[in-house]
Amino acid sequence: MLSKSHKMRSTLVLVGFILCFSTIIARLFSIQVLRHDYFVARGKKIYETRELIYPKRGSILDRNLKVLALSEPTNIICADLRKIRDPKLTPNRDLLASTLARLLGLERDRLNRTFALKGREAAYLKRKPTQEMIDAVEVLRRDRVFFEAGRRSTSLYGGEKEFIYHGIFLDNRVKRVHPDGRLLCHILGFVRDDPRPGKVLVRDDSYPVAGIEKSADRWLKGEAGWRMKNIDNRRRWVLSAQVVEKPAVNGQNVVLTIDEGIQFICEEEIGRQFEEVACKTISAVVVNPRTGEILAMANFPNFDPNNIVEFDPERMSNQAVEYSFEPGSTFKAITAAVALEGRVVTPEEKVDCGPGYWKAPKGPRLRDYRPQGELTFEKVVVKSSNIGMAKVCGRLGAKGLWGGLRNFGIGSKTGVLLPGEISGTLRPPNLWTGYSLAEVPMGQELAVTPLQLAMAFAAIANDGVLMKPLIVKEIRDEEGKVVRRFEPQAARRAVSEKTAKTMKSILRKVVTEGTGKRAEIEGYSPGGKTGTAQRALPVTDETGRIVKWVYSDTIFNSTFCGFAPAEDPEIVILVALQSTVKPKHFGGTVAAPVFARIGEKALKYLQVQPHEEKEENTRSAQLN
Amino acid sequence: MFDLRLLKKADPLVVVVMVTLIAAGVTVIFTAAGRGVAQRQIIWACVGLLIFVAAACFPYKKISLLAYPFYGAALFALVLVLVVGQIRHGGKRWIEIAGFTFQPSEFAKLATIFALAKFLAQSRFPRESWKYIFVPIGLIIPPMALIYLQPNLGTALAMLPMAFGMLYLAEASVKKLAVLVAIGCLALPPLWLEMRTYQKKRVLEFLPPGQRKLMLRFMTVKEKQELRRKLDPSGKQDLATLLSTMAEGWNSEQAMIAVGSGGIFGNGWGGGEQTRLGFLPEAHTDFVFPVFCEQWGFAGSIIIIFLYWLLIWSGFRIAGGAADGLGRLVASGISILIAWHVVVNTLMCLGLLPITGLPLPLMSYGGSSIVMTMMSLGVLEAIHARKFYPLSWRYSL
Repeated sequence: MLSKSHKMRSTLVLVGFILCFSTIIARLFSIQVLRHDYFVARGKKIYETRELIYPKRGSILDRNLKVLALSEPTNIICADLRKIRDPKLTPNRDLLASTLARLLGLERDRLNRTFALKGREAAYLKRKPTQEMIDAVEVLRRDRVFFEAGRRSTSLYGGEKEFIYHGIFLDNRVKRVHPDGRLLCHILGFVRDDPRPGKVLVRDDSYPVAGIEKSADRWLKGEAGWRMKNIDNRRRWVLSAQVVEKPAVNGQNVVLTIDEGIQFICEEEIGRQFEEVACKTISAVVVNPRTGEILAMANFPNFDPNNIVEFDPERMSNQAVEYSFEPGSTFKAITAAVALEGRVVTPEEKVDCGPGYWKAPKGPRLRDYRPQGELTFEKVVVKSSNIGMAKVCGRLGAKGLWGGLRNFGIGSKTGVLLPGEISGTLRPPNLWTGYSLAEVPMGQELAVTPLQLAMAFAAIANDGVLMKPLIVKEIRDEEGKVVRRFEPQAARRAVSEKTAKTMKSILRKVVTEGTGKRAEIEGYSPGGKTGTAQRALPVTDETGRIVKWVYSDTIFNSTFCGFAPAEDPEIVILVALQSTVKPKHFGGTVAAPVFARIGEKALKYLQVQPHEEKEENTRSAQLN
Repeated sequence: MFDLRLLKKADPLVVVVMVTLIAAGVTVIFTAAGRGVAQRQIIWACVGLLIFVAAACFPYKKISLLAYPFYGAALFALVLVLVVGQIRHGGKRWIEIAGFTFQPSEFAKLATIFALAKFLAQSRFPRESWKYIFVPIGLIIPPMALIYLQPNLGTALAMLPMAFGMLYLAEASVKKLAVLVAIGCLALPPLWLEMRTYQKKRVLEFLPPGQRKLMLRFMTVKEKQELRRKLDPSGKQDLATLLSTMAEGWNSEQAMIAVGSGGIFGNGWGGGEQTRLGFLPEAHTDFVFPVFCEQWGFAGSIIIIFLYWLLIWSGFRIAGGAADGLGRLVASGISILIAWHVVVNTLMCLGLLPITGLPLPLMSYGGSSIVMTMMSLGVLEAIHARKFYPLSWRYSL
């Protein structure tokens, strides 16, 4: 029956299939043997994901290691009540309640009542859960899949197979907590979740916005680690395949030079003064003159960094470094030091201050608040005579005065580790007019930040050496070991030791017999200088455009800057009130008392021995 | 009606290969779809074994009596499935009877082989005539059309090589067959027009990226819009650039990754991330071969390919030794059909053919497929056993 042609055709068909099978084997060899690595890599690209492990942000501590800001995980098991009430998403609410009651150790009836709460969309179920509870929530949500050999088991806890509760979730954000509330708010700054695209939003402390948080972020933030996770086709991760590849490095703790006690004193005092005196803002800076360490830096009004959304952003700028103003007479201490250093005058030299007004050559008409007649240079500073200062400093010439002020750091940033610091304004002498040489000596036509002014005074207090201001004392790791220490650093010598000593005694006389009598601190013999500067206010035309700036007769900046004790200063304190209103506008009346109160409390806090006690002790010893 | 004596002369090679392949399939299904599905596959294999034995004991000559009734029943079932069928995976392919579902298309394949073989073996038309070719073509058109309507293009197209192979082996005129093939090639453009958008997308995915744009000319505006929606829901990008960047189909990519991850010796039973993590779709049905490749590597997969080759070669051997024309044609048809399934399924898994829903015979999960394949193999055994019996026997049966 079998014909020859059939046999041949049958063979041909077989040969055709042999060709097909050879192709298959060749292709298998190519894919499985030759390109094995390529396909493994391609597969990994699909089922491996890199999960970030977030580091713990470092804390900020004060110089006595009191915690000022720290990151705290919130970890709360929550219920999305909308999803729980939806019968499609939660088919058996009662079963969920009993399961949760068992897993979280809660009461079933209470849970049921929580689920039924009217007008609520979410509820906290358990604060501070244990790791088992967190795992249980993930299992309930099917965020994890458990695999056994050959079988995909979907639940650790038995029950229905498709038993998925998206209504239960873990709120595992990290919050930045400021235990002291508003204290130090401007210095510490604040953090928020990262607003940049592609960043995870659940971290509330991942993005520094202001203050030390921003400038010391490089130490605080730490380094993220990651682990490779296998995910399945529904993007759930597979528990068994979890391997930590690179652990996270937690952030380091930043220790500030700020002393919380002095800071508290400052904030309390300027807060009280803000209530009593009409002004826009008050800043206070306390510096250790020997090291340049900033012991306190406060501004008022302030804000609560725990709840920033409720405050006007204007309140959040750190006026002590981000704002400059015309210092007025306070600045005479600096210009007088420059004049003495320039040897154009001696403290005892008589200066004719005339009938209380004087027309400077090619310059403005200057006025003193009353006719002074002939005064020694010392008295010029003590009585704060504008005419006297202008006459003496005119001898320096523009370049000499400018160079002297630059030596005090005026017109350049101090380099303090705080964001947004400005350099203030000190125009170069080639831009000076005839007015400038008369106005700069009395603290007009230039602008300084409160910190610059305080540092310049600190230079006088520190025997003429200008220090670099320090806000960060040291960096410590998690265990508290010091990783890096910021040593006090001198910027340059501003004036000679002799000049500094002379200035200290002159400034002491300002308090004892001059304009700053209210700055007197019993037993600590402070020295300092008052300042009352007219504020330049803009004059606008009808369209709101600024036409010119005019010195106001009613709005002033009132400042007092000083140190105590005058012979061997322990602290330098600056108090600056912006936009005070006549008649409560004299630096000697609104700023000096604040200086005195802060100074007294701070010195006592620092346990500096008062002089009078010493004297009394010696006197009583003599009596005995 | 059944003669158990036939079993004694059954070809043991076919039985051994069949059982080995089913067992391999069950192990893969177990890992890919779980214990329950594997158990059901074992039950279906047991049912299939009964049917295999029954078919092997069945004197195949009676097929000539049953062929046309079978064919009619198959057509009826195919019509029925279009009316009352269950919709799964986007096609009406299943009929439910007493709690069991089955695919009439699987049954129709075998019925069509019987009908073709009966006609080709017993026709009085001269073999060189056009009639000898046209009647078989006429026989396969109704089931093909009905299966295509489900829609199940892969199975419908599988009928063509089967019919042509049988015609060729039944010594129809080669010239005339060649003319038909040429005409068939001319029919490709209308077929493209008739295809659904998802089918066109699969073809496009299969084409190399540079040539995909060409095919756009042959698509209607509406289809282009639909394709665009599928590729880019936001609707911002140009369709041409979308096409050039379009990945190979997800399924095809996953299958190739699974095969490639296997390496030389594989990841072992139950291993392999593509399957374990559920990235390979249809891992227990159409893509059972990649799962096996991932687990047992090149070494395992060539063994499987070799086993299939043994099966197909046995089929052709049995056809060559068949006692009469009917047996020869039935055996050839069955061998071609199985070989076609194996070749198309594996080439599809290896990225050499577009994705079509053809199962891998004996290994893929599916009651209808495994039972009908085992029944076909039973018929093969019956044809094989028949020739060893004395002449007197042949006439007595």
